[in-house]
Amino acid sequence: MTPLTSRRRWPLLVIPMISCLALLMLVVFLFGVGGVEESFKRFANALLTSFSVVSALLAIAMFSYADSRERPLAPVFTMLAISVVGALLSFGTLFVGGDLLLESNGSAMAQILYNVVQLLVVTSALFIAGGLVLGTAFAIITRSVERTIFEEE
Amino acid sequence: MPKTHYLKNATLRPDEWTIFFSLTNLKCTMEELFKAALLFWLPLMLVPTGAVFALSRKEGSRPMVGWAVALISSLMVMSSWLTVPESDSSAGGHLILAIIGPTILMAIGCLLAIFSGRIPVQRLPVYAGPVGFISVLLGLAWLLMMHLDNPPIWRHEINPYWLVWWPTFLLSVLLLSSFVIGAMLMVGDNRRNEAGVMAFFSLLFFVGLILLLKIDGDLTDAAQMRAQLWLATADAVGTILGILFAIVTVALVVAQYERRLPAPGLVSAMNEEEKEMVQDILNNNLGGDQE
Repeated sequence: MTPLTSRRRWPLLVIPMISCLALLMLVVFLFGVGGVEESFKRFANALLTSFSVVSALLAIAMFSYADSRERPLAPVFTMLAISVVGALLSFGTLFVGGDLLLESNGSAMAQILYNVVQLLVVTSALFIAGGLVLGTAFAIITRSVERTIFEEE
Repeated sequence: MPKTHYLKNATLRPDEWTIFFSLTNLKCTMEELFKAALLFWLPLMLVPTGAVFALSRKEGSRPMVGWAVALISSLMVMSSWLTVPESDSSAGGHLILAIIGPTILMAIGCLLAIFSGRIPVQRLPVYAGPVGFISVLLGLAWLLMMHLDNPPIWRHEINPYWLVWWPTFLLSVLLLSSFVIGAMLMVGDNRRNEAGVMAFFSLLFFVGLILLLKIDGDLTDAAQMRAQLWLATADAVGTILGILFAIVTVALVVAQYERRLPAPGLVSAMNEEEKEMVQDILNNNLGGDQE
């Protein structure tokens, strides 16, 4: 069997996923998508919110890294790097999409709060789906036919 | 002068009325914001904080306190649609409450199905397996019935976050099961049969999803479902990309630091005392004459 680290086998991980997504999107297009004018705004809001929240958590984690490695300035440089990337992402999305406020939210504050709850909802869906898929996969594996590891002579 | 007479004659100019109403509205808004912060946002932040607190160190009553904080905060988030109904964010708490039942059912089902299989320790009785699979199916059927017949209702209409959660969940199950099929083929040693069963599971979800995109529910029509699935894809892709950007940014900083760390200095040889200590530890652990 080709070893795990072989580059030839990596596409096996993503090809089924990308194929499924492409097929699903094709079906959606064939049936008719409908009103999805806000899709880029939703994408941009999700991108910026998840980036901000995860960056904040990782920046906090950098304080313990700074302690253990005796690099007191590590959190400062991390925050600097995060700010630069965040600014680039924000300018990029604003440049492409313009106003990022969704119709249902009248102000930036309302949009931010909406985005945080939306992130909670999306991540909960991802985690529950992940748990279900992993649980099913392990249930299938533990119930599969017992295989002999060594053949008796 | 009698008080009633004063009130009858008391009047404000139009601009004064405007200021009065603005101040009253501001006061109400501040009160509502404070209430929402106290009964929704603070508990929401305390859920992960309590869990991290409980998991970080297992000394004394720390785990119990941490889990208690996480549990009480979760209950407060889930009941926020009753405690702060005027806050739009409470729809999130309402959604979590709506999906907690099927989620628990599926989680218990998965555990029963896994631990009744061929595992070396703590194997459950044989009948736990079918019960587990039935439990998972019931959980999925519960969610399906919520889509077709009884979606979570918040402020007399479908909870807006349900329209985000349900398509994201379906899409995630489909994509993650495809990913797991790839992982079984790539990482597993001769796991083609298991990958085949997983492919069947994935196909079932795919067909189910296609049907949902074509069949109208009682309160959710197929066209709305298609639009929501498209938007959910945008949400999920945006969320995953945002997380990846954040991780890569921090990883780059850490990599730069690690690259510049000086090489560890040479350690002096052990003296006799240290050698004896090492010998003692080895004898205690490898000798076999201990209790």
